[in-house]
Amino acid sequence: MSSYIRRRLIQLLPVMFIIIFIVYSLVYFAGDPVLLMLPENATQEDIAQMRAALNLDQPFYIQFFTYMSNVIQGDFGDSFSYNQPALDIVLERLPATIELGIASMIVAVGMAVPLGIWSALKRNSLTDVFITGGTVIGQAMPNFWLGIMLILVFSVNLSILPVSGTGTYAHLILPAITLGTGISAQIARLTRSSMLETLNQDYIRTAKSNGINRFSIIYLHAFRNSLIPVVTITAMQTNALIGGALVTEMIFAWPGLGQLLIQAIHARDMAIVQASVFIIAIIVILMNFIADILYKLLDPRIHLK
Amino acid sequence: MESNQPLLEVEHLSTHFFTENGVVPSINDITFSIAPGEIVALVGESGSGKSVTSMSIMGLVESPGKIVNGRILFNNQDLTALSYRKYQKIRRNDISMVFQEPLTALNPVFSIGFHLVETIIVQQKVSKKKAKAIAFEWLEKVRIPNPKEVFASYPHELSGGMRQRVMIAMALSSHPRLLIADEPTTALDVTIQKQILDVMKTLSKELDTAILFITHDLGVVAEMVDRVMVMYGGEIVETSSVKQLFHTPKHPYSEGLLKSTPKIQQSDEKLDTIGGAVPSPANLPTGCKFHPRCPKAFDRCTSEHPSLINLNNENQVRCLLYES
Repeated sequence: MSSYIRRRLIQLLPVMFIIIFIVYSLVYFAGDPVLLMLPENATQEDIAQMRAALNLDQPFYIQFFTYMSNVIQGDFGDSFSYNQPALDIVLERLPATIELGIASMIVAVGMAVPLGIWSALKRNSLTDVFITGGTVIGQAMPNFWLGIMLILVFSVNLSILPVSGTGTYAHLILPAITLGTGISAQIARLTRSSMLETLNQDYIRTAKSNGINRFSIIYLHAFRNSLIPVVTITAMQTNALIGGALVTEMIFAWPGLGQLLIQAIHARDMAIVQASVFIIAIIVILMNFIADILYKLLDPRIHLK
Repeated sequence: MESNQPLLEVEHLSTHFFTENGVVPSINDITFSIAPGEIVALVGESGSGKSVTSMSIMGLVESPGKIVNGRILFNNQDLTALSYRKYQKIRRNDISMVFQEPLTALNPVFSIGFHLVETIIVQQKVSKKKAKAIAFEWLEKVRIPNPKEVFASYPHELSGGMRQRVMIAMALSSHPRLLIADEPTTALDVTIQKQILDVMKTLSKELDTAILFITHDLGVVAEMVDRVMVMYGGEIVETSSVKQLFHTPKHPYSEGLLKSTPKIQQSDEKLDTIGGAVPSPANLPTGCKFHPRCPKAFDRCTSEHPSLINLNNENQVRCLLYES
């Protein structure tokens, strides 16, 4: 196992390299930042001087390798809107996004797994139809719309939860529900189908024929097996979670990475965009990695090599 | 060992499946009994209703299947009238089952030890420590050479024969009165088959457990059992002692089955087969269910459904040829 982890970590390096390359190229071809940084009445000379100062007059590959060698030393360049190293700003915002992400996952899994099991056990009943229908609506509902509706109902009309901002657990509730609902729908549907499949397996019949009680059959024998795909999908939902965080953080003025990234894109603060995407990529890769390890822990048949 | 009071009496049992495409009468009017300690085989091709019969006795027929008629008396207690809870008690203590495919019949995410200990705890209400001791005892009883290793293994790490031994240990550890073995050796090599059959036979003698042995393999039947019931199209078509079945099969289907079993003496001859295919339970022929494939069929067979005729005490046949 530990050799597996080591090997996986080594495999990360080329992946990181490719991500940095893609992000750098996108930004490079998106346009000349010098024109944005200088006032409109700048002369050609000023522009050329600025370019030279920022190494922008060099060919693409030289610029990229200069950038790459800086990145290896942990330097993503300075943000021109904050006048600070970009990575510092990104890392400063990261905890807020992680907090929101964890809260959303708790909401998502907390709703999805019981509902999924319940609808599987009551297959084809009215309960099942309601839950399955609900998950379709949950999945189809856009984040921004749900967020605004929740604010309207709970903050504006009922005045029981804060509209936006951060600080207390109360601030966390609405953004977590907004972000968690869509993900929850997907997990619930998977839990349902996975449960239905395992409940039909031969080993469930064996457990029944041995007189194992119903509770253990459902929550130990069947659930433990259905959990395998559910855990994998949940970890992979990190992508959806981060995508959703961009929107949700904007709606609720949540001071996280998503909000920072959108503001940086608007301001063409490329150092921050690059650093943010880099950090997000690392999070996604780490979550997939964790999914693999959980997969192994849940299913003894899997050998990680 | 022999007693007049049968252990299990199945009376006029019919189990039907209510599917979207209509009612499928999987088994119809099944009647038989098993004495304590007796080993009885239920023989038939796939789709003849053997497994539905066993699941009906276990009380594990699942929707859309339903027992529509008949009684299953176990020690004079009608199982079909029991609640889930009471049935659970029967499954824990009195009736056990071994399944065909021991890989899928064991939960892949739990170790062999977990399976055994869990079963022993619910069945015998003992502490975990005691259960573990009993589990080891049983692993030895089913002649597993390295119990410690096997105890800690997962199902996929064992061979088919080992897994089936574990299944047998799980099934017999509660000292059941009846063991239903649903094709327990079909998925195994011939050499392993013999060992597994030996283990089952020895242990059932030791525990005085009756066995309902479900199989399509007549070789296994000859090896194991006292009495044979032949099933076809959801019905019992012949009941007889093993000897009699092999020497003088009565029903044309039994005859066909025996003829299509390879024998050492006739190795260069072409093997006989029964023409046609097993009818789908959803689409059974009228009259005798076997008539479309029967070499001895005559005009009445297509319209008249034969009833089970008593030839003598231990020999019954469902065929119009034997009507007196």
